[in-house]
Amino acid sequence: MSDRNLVDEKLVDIFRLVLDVEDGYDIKSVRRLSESCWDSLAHTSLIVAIESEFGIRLEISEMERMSSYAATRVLLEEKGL
Amino acid sequence: MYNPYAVGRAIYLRAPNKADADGAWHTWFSDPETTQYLSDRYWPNTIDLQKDFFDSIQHDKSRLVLSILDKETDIHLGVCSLGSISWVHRYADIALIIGEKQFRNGQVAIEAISLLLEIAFLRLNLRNVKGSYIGSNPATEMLMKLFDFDISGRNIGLLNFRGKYVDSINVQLSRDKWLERNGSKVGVRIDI
Repeated sequence: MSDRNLVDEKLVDIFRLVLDVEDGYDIKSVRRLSESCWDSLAHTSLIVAIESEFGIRLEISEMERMSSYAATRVLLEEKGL
Repeated sequence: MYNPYAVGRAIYLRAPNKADADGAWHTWFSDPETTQYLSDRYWPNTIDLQKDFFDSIQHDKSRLVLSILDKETDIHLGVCSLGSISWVHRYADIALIIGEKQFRNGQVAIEAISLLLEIAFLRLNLRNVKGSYIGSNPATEMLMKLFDFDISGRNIGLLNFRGKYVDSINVQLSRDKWLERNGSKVGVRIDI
């Protein structure tokens, strides 16, 4: 499995776990504003989990950009992941 | 923005004013959802009590209370503070309330804590920031984790949470530890 696919898989797992969504839910389409389960606890938990899993540190401005799964994936790509 | 004391991306902090005291501020500390995780807020608050509090902080240098405002709308959405400031030992207690529920999206709290810590360590030159939270509050637990607070102690079963006794968790963040992640801010001028 390529590194990129591995990152994708880990990120999907993080989102699924934190947002506690059902199997089969299209996690890659999830957006913060339209997902009721993406509340303040979920948002902070996502950041903590991503920092821990990928060994990175996010700036406040980067945390703000995490408005969707897709935006988060772009953020990780910019960090070389 | 009016009279900003610290400016973030989506919010800014400023000294509370009379309009804040006359506004929704007092309701936050009566609201059952907002106060359920506050260990010392179990009595209804009133606008008169809030105004008394506002008067009491005007000349009190042991407590820095700041209103949190939304930059776009200038809505007063919460308060944060560095309290019980010891100028000798150089520590303070951190506190935060997002009173307006529509702003409880995680990011506002993150930005407020970030600004408050920068004030504590770079502006007030404190060495330690500490606090405590009720063990049944997962949002604060995660927030403290995000900002690298260490758990410095735990008072077992100390607090009543709606009929159940839960732990009170003490946390602490040193300036040295904060600098590990924020060292690039030291000595840098502010441009708003």
